[in-house]
Amino acid sequence: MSPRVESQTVARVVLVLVMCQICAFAQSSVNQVIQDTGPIFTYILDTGVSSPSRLAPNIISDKAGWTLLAEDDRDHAFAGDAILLNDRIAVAIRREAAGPEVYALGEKGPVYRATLTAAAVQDDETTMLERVEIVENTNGAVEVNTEYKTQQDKLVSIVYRLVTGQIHIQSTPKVGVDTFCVEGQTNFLVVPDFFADDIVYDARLGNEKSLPLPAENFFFHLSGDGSSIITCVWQTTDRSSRVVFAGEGEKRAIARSEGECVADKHIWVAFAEHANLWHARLLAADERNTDVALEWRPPFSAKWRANLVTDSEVAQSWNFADAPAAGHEARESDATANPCWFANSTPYIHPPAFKSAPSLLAVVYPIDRTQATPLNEFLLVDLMRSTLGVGPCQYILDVEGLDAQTAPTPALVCEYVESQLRKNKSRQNPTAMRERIGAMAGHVEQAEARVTAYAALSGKIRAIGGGALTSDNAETREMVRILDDLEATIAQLAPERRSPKDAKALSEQLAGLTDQASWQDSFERVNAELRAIGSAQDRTLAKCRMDLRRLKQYCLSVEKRALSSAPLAQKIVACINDAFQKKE
Amino acid sequence: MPVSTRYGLIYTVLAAAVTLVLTGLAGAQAQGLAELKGTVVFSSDRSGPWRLWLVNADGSDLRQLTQGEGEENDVDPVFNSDGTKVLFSSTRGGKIGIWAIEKTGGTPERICDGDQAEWSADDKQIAFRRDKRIWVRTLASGDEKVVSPESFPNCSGPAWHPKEPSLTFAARWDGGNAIFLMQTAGGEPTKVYDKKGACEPHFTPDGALIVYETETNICTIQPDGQKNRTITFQAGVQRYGRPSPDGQHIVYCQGVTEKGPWELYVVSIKGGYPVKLTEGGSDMNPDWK
Repeated sequence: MSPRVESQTVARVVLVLVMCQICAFAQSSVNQVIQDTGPIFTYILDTGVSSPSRLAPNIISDKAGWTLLAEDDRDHAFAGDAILLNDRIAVAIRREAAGPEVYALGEKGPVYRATLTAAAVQDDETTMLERVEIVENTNGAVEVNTEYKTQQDKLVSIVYRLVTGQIHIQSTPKVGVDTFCVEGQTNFLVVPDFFADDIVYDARLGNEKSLPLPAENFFFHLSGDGSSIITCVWQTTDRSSRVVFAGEGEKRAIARSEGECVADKHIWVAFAEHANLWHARLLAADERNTDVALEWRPPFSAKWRANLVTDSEVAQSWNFADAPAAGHEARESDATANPCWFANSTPYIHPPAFKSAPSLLAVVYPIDRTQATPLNEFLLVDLMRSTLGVGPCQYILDVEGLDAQTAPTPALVCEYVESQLRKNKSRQNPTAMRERIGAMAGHVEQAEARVTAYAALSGKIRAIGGGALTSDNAETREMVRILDDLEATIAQLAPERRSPKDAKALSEQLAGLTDQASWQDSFERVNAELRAIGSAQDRTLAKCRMDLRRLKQYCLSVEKRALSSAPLAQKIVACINDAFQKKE
Repeated sequence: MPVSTRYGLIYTVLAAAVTLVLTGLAGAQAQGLAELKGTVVFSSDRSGPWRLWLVNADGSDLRQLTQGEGEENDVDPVFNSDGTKVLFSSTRGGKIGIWAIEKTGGTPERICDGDQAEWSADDKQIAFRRDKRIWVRTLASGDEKVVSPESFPNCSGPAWHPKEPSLTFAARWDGGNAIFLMQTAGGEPTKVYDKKGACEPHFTPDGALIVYETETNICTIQPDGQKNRTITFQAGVQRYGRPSPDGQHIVYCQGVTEKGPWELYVVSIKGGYPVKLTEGGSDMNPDWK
């Protein structure tokens, strides 16, 4: 072979190889491009052909025949269905669906979890997609504006946004949306309360078609037999929401949750996915008042919370301790020692006797982070921070209208004073320390005034009801029970809250420590007492607030069913609204 | 050279280029700290009070820069243009002030009252916060002037544009936080972004982007307010993002809550999976040169 022929042959071989490589590049699967660019980023895809039914998980995995839109392509006309994607969730916006269908992308691949639907007015629900247009299409976030047709041919528009690496989709109602719904079969729904007890709805109990939810900004569904938590966070506080059930007997399940919308106010729905992410276990009668070791193991480090649920939705909520509390063996239903703890990585529950409760259920879920919680696990507190922008402490202060900037909490001030005392700062700027300590006493006074206001509101509601508000009447019995709960909480926690006078005396003792060289021993005592007062105030306020929300929702349901107590229920709702609006 | 051979070579080069691009993209995602250059200065309580520490960007050679007796705290360190000096805020002497120290150590020198200072691109001036206003000081003469308008009462974190006589800074009012741009000669600031508690703005070395933080994440945005992008996405809280000298990465603090404790992480400026740079103690306020 001549050198010329040889070089031509080499060139042809190289050409073939190059063409193969270019063809492979051009035809490389959408998955490969996403893998190379980074799965955590956000993408918009066009399925090419619109599907008449929900997409099977393998269709989502394979993406065969799908087109990946180039970044910043906002003019794309969809031939098929639109898909919003990051590494945690896939959102299918099908033409023939009533709303976006969300798949959690867990270890086992895509799993359908919920459909986000809406209604123009009560019962006029979305049926199919009319229009979708891209608002933003970058690797950092994708956003689409959708228009859905309702059963009565009205049009509603909602904007959906998905951000890099996040497990939540942000929905923003725009035009014509009255109600936003999360549809999907789930086992339990929890309205959490960081400082008091959660409300837990178990689909297997009761026979109501729906129940009003006493939630202000958030609640979550537990589904997927322990592997999925769907959290709904609402930007607006003043709205009503409810849980809807379907099925009978053992097949009865939560079918959806729904809530009123305000235009341009966001609703975030987050899909946390992990094997053993939550756990539920019925506790047998002979397990009560004994140490019960759970077979379930937490999948990662976190602050885990147990809810002990009887025949009432109001659970007894406890965060798992790192070790058994002293005296836990002797606890009864009114005990305050923590009945949940870990020992050698095994979770234990010591359920109180609950002699009057025929059924006792333990529901365990992760509520907050520890330093060892993996960064890719988004817990309830993470979702609060990344959506509402506040953690639990600031949240309760915000909703109660207490300003921690001008009147800091005992916990904040004790922390500040301790850090200053340890650094010997008191001698450098005692005035600043005394000012903050004085402001803390103001906070305690304001918080106690809020508690007094709740007690007065309860009295006012009883006065409105007069003789009609009685336990003898089936319709008003629940109202009386909730007011009893509220007043009992205020009374039971009064010794722990002590009085503003006591708090002021303690704050003066704290201020006095700034002049003392040997402050440690006295500080420990004063610090513990002040923090206990702050904690008891937080718990009282949270519990009262939850009770009033429960009462309001119950009264709304009485009104809606046009029961004979509806006029009274209407007055009570107006009274609660008036009180909340004055404060807020 | 015969034409066919020339094509062969061209295709070979093309094939190599395509391969390099593909493997490069994949490699960028997998890159750890090993290939990162430069030094990160940060404040840490790992030795007790807050002190300045240095660590190579590849995670090696962790060492303490400032020493001190007592409880003075050294925070907010920032390198000058060639990375030989560090400006920082300190409570040394009982009053918060701006100090400078050589990267190699030595005795810090107090410059003036104030905090949150940063060098101008030519190192001749510093911008800083005093009495909740933004000031500029010429180092040689000691001349100072307030540059933020009186109508902006709660300003913080000034940062110079690398090529222009302008600053970005944050301001707070009852409704929330926002980040602004302002000429150092004065004039009305222009708003860049005012949602999600935006603050701690910092230009990338080419001035094309501003790195800033929200309540929970590190983001980038163009100075004209366009192309807003969340860079970090993890749970917990991310704060104090600062770009690398080549503008390709961001170093930031990751905390369990907004109160910390904090660890330093590095992430590509385009986003992606972060890599932990430090652990132990609480590490904050990084700057990278």
